[in-house]
Amino acid sequence: MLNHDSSKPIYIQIAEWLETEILHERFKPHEKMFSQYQLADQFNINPATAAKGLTILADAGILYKKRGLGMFVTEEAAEQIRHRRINETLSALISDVVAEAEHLNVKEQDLIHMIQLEQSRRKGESS
Amino acid sequence: MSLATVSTGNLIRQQIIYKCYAMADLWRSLVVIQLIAIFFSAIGSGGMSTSDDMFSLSISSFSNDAVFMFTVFWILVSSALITSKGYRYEDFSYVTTRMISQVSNGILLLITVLTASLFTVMSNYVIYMAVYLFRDIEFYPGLASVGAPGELLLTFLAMTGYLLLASAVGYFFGVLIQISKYFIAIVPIMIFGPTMVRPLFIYEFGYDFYAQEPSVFLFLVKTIGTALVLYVCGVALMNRKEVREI
Amino acid sequence: MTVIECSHLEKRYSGGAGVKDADFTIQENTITGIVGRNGSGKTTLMKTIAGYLKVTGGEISVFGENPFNSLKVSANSMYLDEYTMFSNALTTKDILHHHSRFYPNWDAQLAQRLADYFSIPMRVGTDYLSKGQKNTFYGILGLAARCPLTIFDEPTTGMDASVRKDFYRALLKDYLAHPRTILISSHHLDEIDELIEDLLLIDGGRTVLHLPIEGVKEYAMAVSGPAGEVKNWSAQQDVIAHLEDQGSISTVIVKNHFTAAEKAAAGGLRFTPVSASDLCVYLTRRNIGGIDDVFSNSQHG
Repeated sequence: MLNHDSSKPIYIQIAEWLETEILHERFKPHEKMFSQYQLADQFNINPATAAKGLTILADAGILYKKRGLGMFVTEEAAEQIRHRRINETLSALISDVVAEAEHLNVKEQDLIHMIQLEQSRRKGESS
Repeated sequence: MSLATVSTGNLIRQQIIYKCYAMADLWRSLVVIQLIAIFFSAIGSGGMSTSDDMFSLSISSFSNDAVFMFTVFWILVSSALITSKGYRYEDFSYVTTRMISQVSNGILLLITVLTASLFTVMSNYVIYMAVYLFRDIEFYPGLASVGAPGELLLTFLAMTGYLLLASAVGYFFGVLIQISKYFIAIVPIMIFGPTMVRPLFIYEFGYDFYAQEPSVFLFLVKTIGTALVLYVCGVALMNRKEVREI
Repeated sequence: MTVIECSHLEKRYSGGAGVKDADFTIQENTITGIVGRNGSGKTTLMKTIAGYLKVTGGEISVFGENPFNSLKVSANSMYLDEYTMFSNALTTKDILHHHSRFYPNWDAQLAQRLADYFSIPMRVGTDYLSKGQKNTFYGILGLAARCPLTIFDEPTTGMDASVRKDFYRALLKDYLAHPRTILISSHHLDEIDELIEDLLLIDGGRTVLHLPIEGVKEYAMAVSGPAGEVKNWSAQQDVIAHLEDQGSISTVIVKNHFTAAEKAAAGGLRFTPVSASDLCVYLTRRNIGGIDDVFSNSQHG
């Protein structure tokens, strides 16, 4: 799950993986999150690195701390993650896609068509 | 993780137990060297013989002098070896300080000396038995000729005195060599240098000061005193010595 | 709690080298990786911390005491390297037994299970073990003793790849269950950069860098592009190293503390992160040139 050769720091990869878990509802609101020690064991990393990943999520309001008990998922965590991913990750990807299409002289309708084709292909796969 | 608190006394005990195992070769070599000495004692012997036309009389006397000499030499060498790098480094693979390492060495050597003394006294019996079993001799004095209990105790004490002295000399010499290899050359010059001027100087001094002492008590005071001084000097010199230096 | 504190620590040998100016503190229950080139003073530093060597200058305190001849330090620390010595009168099994007498936190069961797992022969002296087995055995001693301060000097020398992986995994698992202060030196930072919390880089007997490993990974950036542009842009930056030009493309390693505006001003230059192990190489390079210069010089001269 972690890419150890990636230039992306491990603690950011941890945070992103946990976000995905929350998005997929493997963690529900107010459910206890993995501890830094569980994450360290699972991903074979130093617990301080794992703690840094958890801190990012706590700072973003996705996790909250209960003193002596650990980290818990906030009520609005999933919504918040979705919101941010749309505004940041997805829009960045779109701007890359649009820039590349421009570069290759792909027309707007063709680009939209390509997106629709991909969407229906994925639907076919999942059904 | 909370820190362990340990007492010096307990650690000295642990180090001695460890050394008793780790230096099994030391004990083994004592047994081997004494057996060799006993063998020599049982064949070689002082004796006198006389004969006329009718009778021939041959008296052989056996002693454990060889055992004594061999054992003194053995403790000298062993005590020097115990100061060598290998043994010191091994101590530091466990919990120790230089002081603890050396005090436990000292106690181990003391135990070794007492054991060796006891063995040496007992060797009289072994020699007697060996002669009885393997030599072709017609008339035996009784086992009592080996020595009365009081005599044996005296032998034991004398032996202990000599062995302690030899051990401390060996230990001190070993320490000097650990401090600087040049002492391998310097020490013999210091010891045998005076001999140039006056032959047998060392022998005479040792003989007069220790061996000629009529009182057992004073003899022990002299030998143990000398041993202690040498040992303490050795410990003091070693206490600033590094381990595992490149 | 501070476990190790060195200030201007110096340990000179009669032959020179050693530690010249080490300045750092190590906190309780952290794993610190100590890296540096051969002869940089790593081993000397670690042996000084263990109380084996006498300092020749500066200050060192371990558990609040000078480690040389400190019973407290000896009882609570363990230094292990491939030259660690045990009497050959003892079998590996005996050694485990004696360790249980000396170390109050000793976990005999863990030691036995690890020895079984790594197939360490139990009835021979350490001289009969292969180099890899010997270091694995010493690694087991270091883990099972659970000393508050454990120092592993190049612990994986001679181990094959799978054993290395297992050893580091065992170390992490035992550390998670029983946190303690661990120093570990390695030539291969890549192997331990996810295991350690802090990195201590030593060069020429001096501490060059002491940072959390995640900070080290973000410490510098490689900036490359046309030589002129790179030169112009990096003029105002903290340049750590210039790499060999590849044709007209030149690359510099700069400290990662430029502003977003400065980065934007760089225009077409390419920014790539610098891995921790590459950074260590750049920070400890003797001169601008590399191994290639050795050959080019010999051809000309």
